[in-house]
Amino acid sequence: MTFTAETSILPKRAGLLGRLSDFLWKHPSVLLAILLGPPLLWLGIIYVGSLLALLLQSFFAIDDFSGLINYEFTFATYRQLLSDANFDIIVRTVTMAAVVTLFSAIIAFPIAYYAARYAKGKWKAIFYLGIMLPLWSSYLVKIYAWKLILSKEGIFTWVFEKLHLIWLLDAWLALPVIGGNSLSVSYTGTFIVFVYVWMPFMILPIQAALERVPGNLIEASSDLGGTPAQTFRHVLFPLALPGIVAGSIFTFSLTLGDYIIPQIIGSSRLFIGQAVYAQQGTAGNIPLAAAFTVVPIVIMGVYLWAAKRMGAFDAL
Amino acid sequence: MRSDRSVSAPLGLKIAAAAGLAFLHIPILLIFLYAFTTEEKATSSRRPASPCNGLPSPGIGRMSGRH
Repeated sequence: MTFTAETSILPKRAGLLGRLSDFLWKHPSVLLAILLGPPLLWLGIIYVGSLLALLLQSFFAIDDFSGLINYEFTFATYRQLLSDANFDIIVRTVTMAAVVTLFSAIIAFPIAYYAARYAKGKWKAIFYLGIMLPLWSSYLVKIYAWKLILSKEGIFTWVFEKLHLIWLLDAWLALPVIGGNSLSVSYTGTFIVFVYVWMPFMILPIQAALERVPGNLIEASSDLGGTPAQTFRHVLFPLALPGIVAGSIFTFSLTLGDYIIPQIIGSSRLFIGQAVYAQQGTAGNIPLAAAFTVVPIVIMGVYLWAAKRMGAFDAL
Repeated sequence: MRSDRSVSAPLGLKIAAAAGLAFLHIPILLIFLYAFTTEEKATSSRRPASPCNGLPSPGIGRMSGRH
């Protein structure tokens, strides 16, 4: 015996809402379309659409004489993007993002490992809170705090003076690329603040990955005579790698796109975010600004593809 | 059989984890303390040596109301 709508156990409901409910019950695909439609439209039009508009803008060029955008398809803006000065900006930003990611991973790993394997009960909660708490405070407040710490009259210099190590700080600041008048106007300062601001985004995925490493694998390594260094190299690190890659997606992409930190703490040499800000603002060169924004998108596209192949998204 | 969870963390790991957490919190703590600093103290700074150091500067006295 087969049941149809007419022979179903429940009688038809009266009223508009009842009929609508019955209709959606009988047509789940319509319900799915209604539920998924708005977010997909939002994603498609607002997010992907704006990205496509941006990409399209990068294929136009600005007229040098009038300063107006010439809406003809050209690669002139990309040629301009690869000029020495602009290419330096790209290399500088990518290098900074890579170094920040590397050091974030190095600093984050012990915190994540301790929190995952040794912290228990309330200490685990305290660790979580300790990692999350800086994320709840204002981004700008944190950066200005570092500005105070790193300035010439700041706490950092004071500590070095008290320790009679001011010569070391001066020697570091005298170094050609990473130095400067003070830490707050040097690449070193920019690097410290980038690491500080993005590090929680590295700790959490690593911790998630380490939580999933079975304890008996580490015990087995120890039982088989593996030293802590060997256990780390051959057991722990390979298993934590997806978490490290997942964290690096955050630190790398956020560093690539940030323009506030290098604006407040750093030298006058631009990063990609600052170049975009300058080109779309004071310079009024929207096509070049769009071409600059394509660079992190392409880099992150390749990076995400590589990360997916390494299974990084399993640790998110 | 050894159990990793039963033993306490190595000292180096404890120090590294504590230092990492301190790195995350010290700036916030400092800005919190800084909020209790008076403006006079906050804006005072070491001035570089000037050839006029040691000479009387009557203008400063007049500006601050001290004669």
